[in-house]
Amino acid sequence: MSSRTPLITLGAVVVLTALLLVVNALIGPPPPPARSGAPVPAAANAPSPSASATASASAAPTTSTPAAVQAVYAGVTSGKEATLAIAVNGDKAAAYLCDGQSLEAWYQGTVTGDQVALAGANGAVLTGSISGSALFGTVSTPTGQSFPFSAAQAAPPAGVYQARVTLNGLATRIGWAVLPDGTEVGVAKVGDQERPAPTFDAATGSFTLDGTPGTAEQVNGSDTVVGG
Amino acid sequence: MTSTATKPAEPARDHFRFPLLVFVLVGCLVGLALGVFAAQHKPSGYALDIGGFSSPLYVKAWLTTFAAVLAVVQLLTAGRLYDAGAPTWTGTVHRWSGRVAVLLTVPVVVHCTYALGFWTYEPRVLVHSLLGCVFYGAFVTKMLILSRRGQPRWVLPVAGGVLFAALIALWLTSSLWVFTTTGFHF
Repeated sequence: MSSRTPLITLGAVVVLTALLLVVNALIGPPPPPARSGAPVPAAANAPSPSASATASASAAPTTSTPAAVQAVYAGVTSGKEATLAIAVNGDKAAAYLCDGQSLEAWYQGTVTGDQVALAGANGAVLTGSISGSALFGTVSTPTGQSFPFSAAQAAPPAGVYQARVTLNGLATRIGWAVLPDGTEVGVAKVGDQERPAPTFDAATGSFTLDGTPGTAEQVNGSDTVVGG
Repeated sequence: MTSTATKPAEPARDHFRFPLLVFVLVGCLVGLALGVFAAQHKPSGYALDIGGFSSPLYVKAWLTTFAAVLAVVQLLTAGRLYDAGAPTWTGTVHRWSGRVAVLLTVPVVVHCTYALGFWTYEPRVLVHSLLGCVFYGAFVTKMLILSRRGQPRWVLPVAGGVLFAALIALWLTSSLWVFTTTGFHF
């Protein structure tokens, strides 16, 4: 056997791999799908973001406010296009907006005084101001739509919930905005496909999506929900 | 034969020891680099699709299945490579089945690393992710070993055995899992 053919085989495999990677990088115009999968590896592999989030959350009571205020605001956009829930923890907040069908967006950011300023992937923004037990503002989606909204401070089970499962080998992230009456509005993003989310058991958080079981967990205002 | 063969083999093995170490290290680095890329790259959730199958998932499942079948051909032909009575085409079949098998896996690994990534959230997925790295590391090591003559006779069977075992285990943790959980079809 010639001693050069194995190297040619090796080179062919390397070239084909590189070619496919380049083609993959080219076919997706900066893909929105990347944003849903992104937070997972970041959170799983780098303990630093969560560690720093915890650190700043625990530091918050001593620096800015006397006590870290945990609250949930839940509401709908003015034209009832979508439901949203916002979780506040001290000076941090995380929010989820969805229509229960195909539109969804995650936001996170800060609360300064009564001003809420959150951002999501692809230029999505949620801004608002807290007035008593209500939160009024405007939310824009990654697809460029913009809606005014009103949300009211709400007691459990209201809140932002999320779950991650693998469906047919595709990384799947599910988000829910839950209203105080227990209404769950959610979207499951399977790979890059959005679809209505299953309902989860309010007591245990358990649900099944196409036979795959999972558990919904409530999102805290200081949790990382938007990946870098 | 054994007594006469071992003596000339001694210098050959010593001569081969350093290159072999380098080849194994290069294979380890390739496996490690693949795993790091898969873990660090933001999963895109999509990748180039190949037509003719019901979904990208089934493209991967069947490509891996074809590769696994060729891996069995590899095992059968490898068993006869050192057999003087074997047909002359044994070596040709071995080489070409191997080349086709590894090329079939390339679109799969690109999709795995580019669209999905290295995951650890359940044993099947962790084992599959690790084996993917082992497989390509072993492949690189074996190709490098083949490029040099005069290696000890145990080296190729060991490298080939690792490669075969990794590919079959990859098939078990992916294609078989898809066929048994989602259904057996194209």
